[in-house]
Amino acid sequence: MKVAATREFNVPQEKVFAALIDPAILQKCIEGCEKMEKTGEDSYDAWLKIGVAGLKGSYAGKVRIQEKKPPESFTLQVEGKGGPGWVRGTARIQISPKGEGSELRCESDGQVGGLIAAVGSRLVEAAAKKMLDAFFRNLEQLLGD
Amino acid sequence: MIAAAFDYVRPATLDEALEHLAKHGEDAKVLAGGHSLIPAMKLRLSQPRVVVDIGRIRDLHSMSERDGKIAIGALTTHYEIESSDFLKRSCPLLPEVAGKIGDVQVRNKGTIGGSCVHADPAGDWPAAMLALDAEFEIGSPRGNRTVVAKDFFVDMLTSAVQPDEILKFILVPVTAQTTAYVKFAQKASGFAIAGVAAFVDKARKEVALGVTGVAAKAYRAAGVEAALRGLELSAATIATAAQKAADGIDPLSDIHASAEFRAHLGRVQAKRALELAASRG
Amino acid sequence: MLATRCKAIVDVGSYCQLLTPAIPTLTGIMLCGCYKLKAVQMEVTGVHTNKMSTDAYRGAGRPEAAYIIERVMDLVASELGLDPVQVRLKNMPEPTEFPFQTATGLQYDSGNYQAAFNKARELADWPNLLKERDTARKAGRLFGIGLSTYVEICALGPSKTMAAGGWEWGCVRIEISGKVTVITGTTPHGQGQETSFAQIAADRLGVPIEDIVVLRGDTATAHFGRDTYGSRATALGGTAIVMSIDKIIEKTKTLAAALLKSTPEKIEFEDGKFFVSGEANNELGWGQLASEAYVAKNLPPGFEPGLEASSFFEPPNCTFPFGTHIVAVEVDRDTGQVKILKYIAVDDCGKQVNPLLVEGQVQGGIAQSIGAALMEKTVYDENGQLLTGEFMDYAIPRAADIPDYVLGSTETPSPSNPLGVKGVGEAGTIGATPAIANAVIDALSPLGIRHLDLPFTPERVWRAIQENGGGS
Repeated sequence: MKVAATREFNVPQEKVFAALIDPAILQKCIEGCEKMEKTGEDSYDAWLKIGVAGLKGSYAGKVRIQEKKPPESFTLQVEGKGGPGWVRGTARIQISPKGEGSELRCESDGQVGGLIAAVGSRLVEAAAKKMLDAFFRNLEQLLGD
Repeated sequence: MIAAAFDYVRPATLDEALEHLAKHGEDAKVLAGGHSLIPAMKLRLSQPRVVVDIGRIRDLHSMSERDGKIAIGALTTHYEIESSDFLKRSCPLLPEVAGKIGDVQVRNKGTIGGSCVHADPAGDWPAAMLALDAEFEIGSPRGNRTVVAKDFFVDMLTSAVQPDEILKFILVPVTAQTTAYVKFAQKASGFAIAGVAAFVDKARKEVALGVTGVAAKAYRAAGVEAALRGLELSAATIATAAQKAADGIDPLSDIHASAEFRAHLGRVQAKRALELAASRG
Repeated sequence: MLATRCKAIVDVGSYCQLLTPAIPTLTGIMLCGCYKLKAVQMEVTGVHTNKMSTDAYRGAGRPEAAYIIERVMDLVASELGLDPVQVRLKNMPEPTEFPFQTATGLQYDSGNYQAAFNKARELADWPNLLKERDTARKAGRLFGIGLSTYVEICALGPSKTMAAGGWEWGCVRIEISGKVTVITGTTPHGQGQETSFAQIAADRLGVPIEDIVVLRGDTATAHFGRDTYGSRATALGGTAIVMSIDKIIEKTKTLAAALLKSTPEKIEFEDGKFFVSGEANNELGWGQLASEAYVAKNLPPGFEPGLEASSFFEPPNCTFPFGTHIVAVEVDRDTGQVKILKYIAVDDCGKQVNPLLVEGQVQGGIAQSIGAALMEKTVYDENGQLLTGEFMDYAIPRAADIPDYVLGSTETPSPSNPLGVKGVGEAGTIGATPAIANAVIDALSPLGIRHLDLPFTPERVWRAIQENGGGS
């Protein structure tokens, strides 16, 4: 399931890039990511509580930052496994200068399996879109600080 | 599957219920008719540690007139609404919607309050609540408050009711007979792929349309309403206006209907709902 | 119609279960349907996928065969500008040509396809149905009529062709009271043989039906059986009961002769009474005879006490029920929804032991076809993840989805067993899907649509209409 979005920020390209590869900020951008613990270069164990409204599930997994090309692009990989099933997402993030600020384009490809996919497939795509919206909203808030 | 273990409390009054919610916070879930909560619990997609059964709170199970409006208690079942002669006379949209929910067993247990708070993107009630500009009275530790429909349905499965609050009453207007609810149901679940509630006010030359099933939450088809404001309703004016029924929203997409088909059905149902409502008076 | 060539790519799921490869095989051998084809070629490639295995569902390969050949007949008719009725009639064998050898090596036991076809068209008021379609089409409505003249193979079957025996076992015992115990190796679970086997025994033995009990489904009681599947229980299990009853009657003649001071050849049996030929008022009933047989004081020399017999029936052939289904549908241009307006079915399952049970089977079979044709679909994503994991997402038909059926029947007895019975458990499911498919495609044909795959979900139908410029 592919979801994509583009947002503009009043913050220069390098600053946006630096923020996103900062694990403290990255963790706050990923909605529902309760904790991230570094396990290696650009690689983290993660604990996620994601879902929609009251139907949230806990997942344990990994967050990885790959194909870093500062200050333009990188790929974010998130995967987790929990009671309701498993989730896996890859997001290609591209940041380009725009006027005084920058433009961020995120193209994500997600997969869901197990119980939530078998019985909740109608909610999955909407939930993915929400997570992406939240990602940008959280980033905006953190960049503004 | 069987639900995860939980504690069960059954308060006799609303105040007691609110106390339980205050005490347990996000660990508690309110149980009314149970036909949204219990299936989720059985699949373990929802695992509240405490279930607060408000089913015996008599105050919330009533129907009365209040200052020219109709106050419906949150615990009123779909069946009670469907079979109410009083509502058939004074607010016929409600019995029409109620009769299309799920099946007989679901209607005997499910409540209008529980359904609205659950805010399923394909639930039937939100469409009607929006079309009628219903008001929601919420019991809260921070002081009771009233929220209008357009602010009540916040997002997919999210209403304005906070985890420590309980919906008490829904206030709806007395209306003419020119209302209609048409629903294109998903064949397996009976949920709406596109459900449109139409309220035609011939005197004021205005219409109100609530659409459910098409987007992540139910919405008012403002484009359709604007197109018909001040106009005489005819097959032609309705057909043209209905084309705007899916404007400005992001249609859902799933294995039952693509976004394109959903938006199309929204337009078809808008046309049919308006024609039907207009023909009734 | 001279020959058919079929290439099938079959999704069998992760691994083979009990009958997985047998399903497309059954499709292949029934591919000629009820037509006199000279040659049939079928190539099947079974593909393992990361999904649940497939296996027998009601019809087990024969719904597919009927669907394929009946769609072909309609496509041939449409391509050549011929009447689909005439295309079918032209290619059917006459009743006198049975037993009929098919190009696939089967011997159809008996058939009168024309009689069922004619009766169905009569019940459907065919000429007026065609007029109704004309009127609807002139008004721009998408109205369609679909036909299915089907034949199917059941009552499996001769042991030489089965994996581990195709016979069936039955036992009948006249108790000392004169009441009757029937034990069958089949396992009815809703098919009703508890009633129909009691009927068979009551008729053949001349015993009141209230005095008969039918036992089944417990290997402690019914030690042998090949079980209930493939619409075989009445044809095979019923025959084993008949064989056992006939053995008991034969044996009892010897006892009756001794008691009536006559010889076995002179004993007649009618309506539950044994009497010497010509001396109808000097008779013996089961009560007395059973008492004598078990108390055993007056038995003729060499006579084994008791009145019990068991039998294994080895069928010489399968049976081949057939029929015609006619369906009228209307398609909503704006939503793609299909509504079945009329449903006529004439099914021939040979002699009918219990017409109510037959009707029940047909009704249920058609309902399952309605599901297959209009709404049932197991959906997996590209990773093999099942997405229709609940009945909230997998639609099965409910009472409100089923139209009023007009049901009729013809009875062309089967020579494959003494009861003349063919199976009927699956016939409804086999005959119905092609009729519904042909009807929907006929409804869409004014838009130039030649074919559309199942199921006819609203979105699929709507898209076909859109792509052919048929939106309103």
